[in-house]
Amino acid sequence: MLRTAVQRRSISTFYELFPRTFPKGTPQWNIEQSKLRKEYRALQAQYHPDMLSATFGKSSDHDGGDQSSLLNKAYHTLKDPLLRSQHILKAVQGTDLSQERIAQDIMQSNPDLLIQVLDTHEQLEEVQNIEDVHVIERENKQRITSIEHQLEQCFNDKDFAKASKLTVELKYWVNLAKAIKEWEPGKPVTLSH
Amino acid sequence: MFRFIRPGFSGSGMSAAGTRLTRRLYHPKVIDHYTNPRNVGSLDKTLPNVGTGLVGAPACGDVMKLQIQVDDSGVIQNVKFKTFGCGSAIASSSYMTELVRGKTLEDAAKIKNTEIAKELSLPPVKLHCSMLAEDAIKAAIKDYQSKRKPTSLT
Repeated sequence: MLRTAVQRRSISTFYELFPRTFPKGTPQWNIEQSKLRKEYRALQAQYHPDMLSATFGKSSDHDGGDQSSLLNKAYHTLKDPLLRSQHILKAVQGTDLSQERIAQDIMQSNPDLLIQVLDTHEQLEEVQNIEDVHVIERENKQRITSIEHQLEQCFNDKDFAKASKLTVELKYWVNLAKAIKEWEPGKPVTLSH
Repeated sequence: MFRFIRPGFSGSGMSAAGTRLTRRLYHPKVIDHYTNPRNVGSLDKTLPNVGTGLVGAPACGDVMKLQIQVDDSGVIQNVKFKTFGCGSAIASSSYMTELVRGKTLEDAAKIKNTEIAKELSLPPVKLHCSMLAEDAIKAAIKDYQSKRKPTSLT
């Protein structure tokens, strides 16, 4: 069966799903977004359930759907700096930042973070007009860009401890960015996951 | 879905939020605390009889502030919170403020997250939200006590 060629192999990182973009299949920080997108689209065309059922008949639907959603998850993880960093740390270091206890331990080393996060959210809560929101937004974008640059340096230097700390911080600012996006005058600040 | 509650907010827009929460299968008690949060706001953290607890759930990117105002006999007279996080985190902190008001510091420190989780019927994946509320009251009590220490020594 043709379909078994790729997806039956077990993978340990999402990088292995895109061999043309990542020939070594090992986690890396820097990503050629256009190359990844191209390979992702080519693979999706191949594994999309509609394509598979057209080629192999109904029995292939299930496997094609699994592979299609795996590819989708992998692509969106690697494309996004926060998710990519979390994925690298888990794959390379076994540091799973989705575990509260692990993330808590890492946050201990950054005692001022919560104060800064709360202050910024209170600022956003108090602003009355869109211009002031844009100020907060600009500051937040600068923070996020700065962290992403530092992450690049950390992953190049294999400084995973610092990368973990920065990734925990990045999560908070990405949440703030979502809250900013949903800001409307007179409406409570909201975010979606 | 995330929301940052504003002090005194209780009007329009909440019904839409409630609908979204219902779709996510939150327990009615969570939705009640989420749509009508109790004791939202801030106390003056510089006052000697105010203790502030600031805790976070970094995996989710949640932050929770809980403040208590304590009278001379060690009873919690007033309590306020601000939570930036998911519905369960907001509901947990809101319910916690109801629990601790009028309690002695000693009794407030004994409140376990399981009590909150049970009241709000939190699913296992949201248990950490109730733990966050427990951490928050403990941190607030600790902050209050650290403020009192110098005077109690004299």
